[in-house]
Amino acid sequence: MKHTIIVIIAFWLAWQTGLSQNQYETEIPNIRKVLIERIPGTLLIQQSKENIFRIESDKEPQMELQDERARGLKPVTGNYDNTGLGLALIQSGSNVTISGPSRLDSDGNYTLFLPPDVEVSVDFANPFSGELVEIRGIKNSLEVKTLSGDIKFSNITGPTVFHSISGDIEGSFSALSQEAPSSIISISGLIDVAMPTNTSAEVKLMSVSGKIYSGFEIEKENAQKNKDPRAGDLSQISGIGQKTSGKINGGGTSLILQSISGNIYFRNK
Amino acid sequence: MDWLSDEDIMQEVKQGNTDLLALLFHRHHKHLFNFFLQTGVEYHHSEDLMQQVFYRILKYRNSYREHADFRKWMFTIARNIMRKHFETRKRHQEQDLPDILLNFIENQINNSDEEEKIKILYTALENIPAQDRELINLSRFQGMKYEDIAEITGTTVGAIKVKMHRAIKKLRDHYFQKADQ
Amino acid sequence: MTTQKINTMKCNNTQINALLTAYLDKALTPEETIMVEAHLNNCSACLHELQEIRNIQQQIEQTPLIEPPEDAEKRFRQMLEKQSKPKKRSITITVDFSWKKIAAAIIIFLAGAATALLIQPNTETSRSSLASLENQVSQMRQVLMAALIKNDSPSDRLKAVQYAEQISKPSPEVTNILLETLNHDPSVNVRLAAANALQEFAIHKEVRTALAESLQQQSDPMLQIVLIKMLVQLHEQSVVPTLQQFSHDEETHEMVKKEAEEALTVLL
Repeated sequence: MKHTIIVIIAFWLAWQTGLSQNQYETEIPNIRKVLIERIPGTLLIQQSKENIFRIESDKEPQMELQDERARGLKPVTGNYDNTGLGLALIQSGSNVTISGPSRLDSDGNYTLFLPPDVEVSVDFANPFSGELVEIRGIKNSLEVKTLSGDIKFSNITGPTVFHSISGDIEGSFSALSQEAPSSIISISGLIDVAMPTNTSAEVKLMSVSGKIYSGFEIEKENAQKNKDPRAGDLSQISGIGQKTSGKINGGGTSLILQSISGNIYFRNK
Repeated sequence: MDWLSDEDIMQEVKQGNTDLLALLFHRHHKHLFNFFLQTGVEYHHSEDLMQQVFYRILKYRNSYREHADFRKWMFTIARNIMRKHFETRKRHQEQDLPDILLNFIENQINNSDEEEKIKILYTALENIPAQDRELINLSRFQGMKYEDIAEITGTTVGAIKVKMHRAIKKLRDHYFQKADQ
Repeated sequence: MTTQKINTMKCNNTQINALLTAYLDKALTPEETIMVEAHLNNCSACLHELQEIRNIQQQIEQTPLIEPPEDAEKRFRQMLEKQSKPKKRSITITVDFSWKKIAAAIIIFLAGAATALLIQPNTETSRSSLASLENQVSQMRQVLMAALIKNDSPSDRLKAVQYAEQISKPSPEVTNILLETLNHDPSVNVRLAAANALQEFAIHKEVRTALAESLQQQSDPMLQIVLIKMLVQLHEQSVVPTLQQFSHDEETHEMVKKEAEEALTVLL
């Protein structure tokens, strides 16, 4: 009995969300890079099939006030919306730009499904952007900039260039691309990154006032007792204001994790 | 010079910088040459086939898929060319290993014990079918992974595991039969 | 045909037996590996066979490759030349050059140099040409770096900075490009990498002064802190006014303020 109720509720929820989902899908071949900026809400980026771009949103697009005089004309300034979701998706050469209105309220949730091997660049470094950028399963170069928004990721390879002012940066790599260096910086947020145990890299970990923990063997000072519950069984490899650099698994591409006041957790999995 | 991969260079060749193919030739021609020799192509024909492989790479450079494993592509072409070669010369019984392999050892290896062992290996190789030599060559001499060999030869990894064992088994039978005498 | 020894102890489990070579080549799935290992524990025939396969594989690995005809490469190059349409031989660097094109041009040159080395190894000349090869590699890194730093992908620009770090004797151009990157690159991550790379070049007075000047225009607290730390280590006095400004400015990030104040106690 109990189960049936749960199942019914689950269906009802799915149906409700299904109702409020708005979708846009298009196919564009040969895209190398996707630039994303000014998204009015949180952003989840996932893999789609080759050449497919799909956008889902839980936000009802606002009807624009009709200007009788503008009938038959295209707006040149202001929002350009060709997806019906308040976003513009524009191709130029091998790039696609997805962007929202210049003035925005960040209360929506957007999911972008992008081809699995595009480069992605997300610019959330303006005060109207949402509070979260999450990327799953994109296997190419990634760049994300946020102010206070968190950056989450899973099943990526990079190379990554992440920067946040006060957001946390957290997630796991399926492998670390040796194509180019990866750099992850948060000014006051924490950095929690997991990589496969056999990852090889030349790592530089630095936190000015936070602590650094690593599950990898790096050339390190004496491990200290740690009382941080988040660190679990990672050993603390540096005290406050320390910098640790060295090779893991014989060295490889350069990997930089830096924070001013956030802790750094560098895990092996 | 390790910092530009085969694939980077091939991409550049595809985009019209055909001179760069000379570098890929430099990197791989020795292995390719030995692949032909050890599978049973005569010395001068081996060079000819090797040139043909790279000529074909040049000619069909536009069909190279970006980031596709270059060596895999090269050996796929090499196999096709070699098969054609064997077909046209079926009557000539050219499945024996070229004499150069054995002559070379006599000239180059000073250690007679070592020389004897390599001789036995080549004689054993000579006694197994060309398809088996090909598999053993790709796996042992060229160091290719089973997945890659499966793709080159157009079969599954599962099939390669079994085929590889059969090939090695045949080789082993001939090898130890000689060695034990 | 096989020796009698093997005939007398034959393994009946053909399915497992067929996997032995793949087992040695580490090409089995984890499940298969477990199966084979379990089987090997109580089948001496297979164990013996495994040993023989290993012997023969080692023998194969020790077998030297045969040199292709010496002029094979020359013949190939001649064919290439005939195929490619006649065109200008000189390399002109245009505004929209791609870094790979340059790399390509240099690599042909290097390939020639390397081939020359291979032909006459172990001589005095090869040692000096090895040094010149190293020099050429440095020059090439420099060209590559200059080209890569203009790419729109920040990963590529990070790579450019990494090349700069690997150049053995950097020219003033390299330093200038790094300073330019430190001050104007749109990505903080790239600017930070440039700052770290410049630390190596700080023996030069001009670089130190330039670093101190750069601190004034940086707005990212991470960069400010890293630069302050570097400049304190270098005992660069010219940074003092900027530090004093930081310690009084309300807008400054509190950690930067702290860093600046500490730095002042050292420098003054």
